[in-house]
Amino acid sequence: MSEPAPQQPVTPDATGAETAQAAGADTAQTIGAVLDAAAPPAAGSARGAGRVRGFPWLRGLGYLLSLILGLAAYYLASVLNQNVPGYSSLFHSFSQLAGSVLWTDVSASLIRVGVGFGIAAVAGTIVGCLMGWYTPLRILLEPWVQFIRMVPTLAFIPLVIVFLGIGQTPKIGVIALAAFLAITVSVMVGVQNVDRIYVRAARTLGAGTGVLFRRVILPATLPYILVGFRLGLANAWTTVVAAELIAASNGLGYLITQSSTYNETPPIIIAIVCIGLIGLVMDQIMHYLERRLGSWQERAR
Amino acid sequence: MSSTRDAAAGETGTMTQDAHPKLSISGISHQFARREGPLSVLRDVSLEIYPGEFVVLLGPSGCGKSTLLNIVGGLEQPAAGSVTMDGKRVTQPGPDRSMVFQQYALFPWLTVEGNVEFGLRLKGLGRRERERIVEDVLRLVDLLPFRRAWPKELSGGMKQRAAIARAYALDPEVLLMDEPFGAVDALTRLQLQENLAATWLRHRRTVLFVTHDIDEAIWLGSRVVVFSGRPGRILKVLNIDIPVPRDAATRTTEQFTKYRQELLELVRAAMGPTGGGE
Repeated sequence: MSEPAPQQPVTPDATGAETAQAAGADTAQTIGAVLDAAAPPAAGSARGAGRVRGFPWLRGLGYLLSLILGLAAYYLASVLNQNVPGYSSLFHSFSQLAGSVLWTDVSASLIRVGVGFGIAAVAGTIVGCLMGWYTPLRILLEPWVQFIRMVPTLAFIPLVIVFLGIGQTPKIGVIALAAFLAITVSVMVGVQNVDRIYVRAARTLGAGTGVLFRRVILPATLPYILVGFRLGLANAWTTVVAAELIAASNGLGYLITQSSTYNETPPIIIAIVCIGLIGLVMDQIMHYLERRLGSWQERAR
Repeated sequence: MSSTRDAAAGETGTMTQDAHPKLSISGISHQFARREGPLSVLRDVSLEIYPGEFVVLLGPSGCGKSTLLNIVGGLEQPAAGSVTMDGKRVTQPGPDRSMVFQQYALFPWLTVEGNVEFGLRLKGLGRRERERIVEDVLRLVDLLPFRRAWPKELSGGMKQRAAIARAYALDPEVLLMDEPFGAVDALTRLQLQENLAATWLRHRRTVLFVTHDIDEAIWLGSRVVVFSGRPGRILKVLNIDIPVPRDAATRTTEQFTKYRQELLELVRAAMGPTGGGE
């Protein structure tokens, strides 16, 4: 596994937002770091959170302050730079969009990401399990997986258009690819890290290979699978804009590209905010699932 | 599950030697591949274990006794020799030879109950049947109130009792125990030993038990097999003729002390003049 990239150390108490952004911006380096930090899972997060554990209101207050500061900074920027649309024009644009295309765009993007991520979740888990378990397969496939992971999804778009046309398939394909790679690598690492004592115990209890995968390796890898899903979902969501460059007629990415041809900045900002907020919500849901489904784990103190 | 038939068979725990052996270990040699060349861990080990016996493998660490247990368990294939159970050759793991590991090896994603049920489901038992067995074996190890607990909520001793219950649940013909009490504190260890001895007396399963604790070996065993240091060979097989059930007082009897003396000398000899080993 790679070390955390020095310019953006992913600390154990990195929030979901940081992780999601980092994963989108720099998947290659971050995934290893996030796996290190989060997968023997959240070993340090209890300590990181512990400092303010007794004061949840203090934490809430901090978030509120952060929001106010951010909004103030944007206001300042809009005052200083004429080209940055002010809040009034943003609100105007929002009410216009909300009355027309915004929700179709949001749902179109969500559906693409949902389908693409769904495919990637199933395929990535299966391929990751097999690669983690069967060394020859890993040796054959891992260089390609790592190679493709290094290429920004955007670079595949022209090829995908040529190969798969301009229907729904290429968009979903690109999104699925982005999620698949993150999930595969995470699951593979997870399977490699399954304590062999569980495998031995299961075998002496009468488990064959099939049972071993379903009832031992899969649950033992679950924390890694969920980390993979979280990173994969973040990748899928951040890829949606790129995917919707492929002859889309709706979607948040389409909203951005279309608005940019008319030099309309407010809709772009609205779309960006929507993408970010939805991404945050999805990330929080994945975090919640990680905590819920991984509650059996022993936490190192 | 309870049978008084077997319990009457031997007063001292040494079983009738005229019966057919449950397990035959014959001419086992084994080595591990290393970059510097093969490391021989077992050399020509032969041993017969009879039904209902509690056989303890005792020896310094690294003498290959755990490897031998893994071979009997079918988790490892010996380089030479063979293991047969009831005359049939052992080639792979199976629920007829349940194993208990030093590291408990409870599945942390299952509750105590789920762990115990694991092998029962694989056997294809129905829900009611599983329920009955789970209750039986958890009662046996005094864990019934903790059936819905997660492994992380249990102490080391409780974890090991749960692991033992999981092994018992399959009603294995042979119970293989690899330093099962090696990771718990001394007091818990005594408790676990007493619990194990009591359950063994009740059901008289054949047990193959690995330890490097001499007192544990004498107190539990009907026979103690002493191994030399690496590569492991059998130095001596000692019958422990102390009547069962044994209790705390047993540990201070003259007989017990004599066995301890004898085994201590053997083990010390096994470790070599430097007192080496890891």
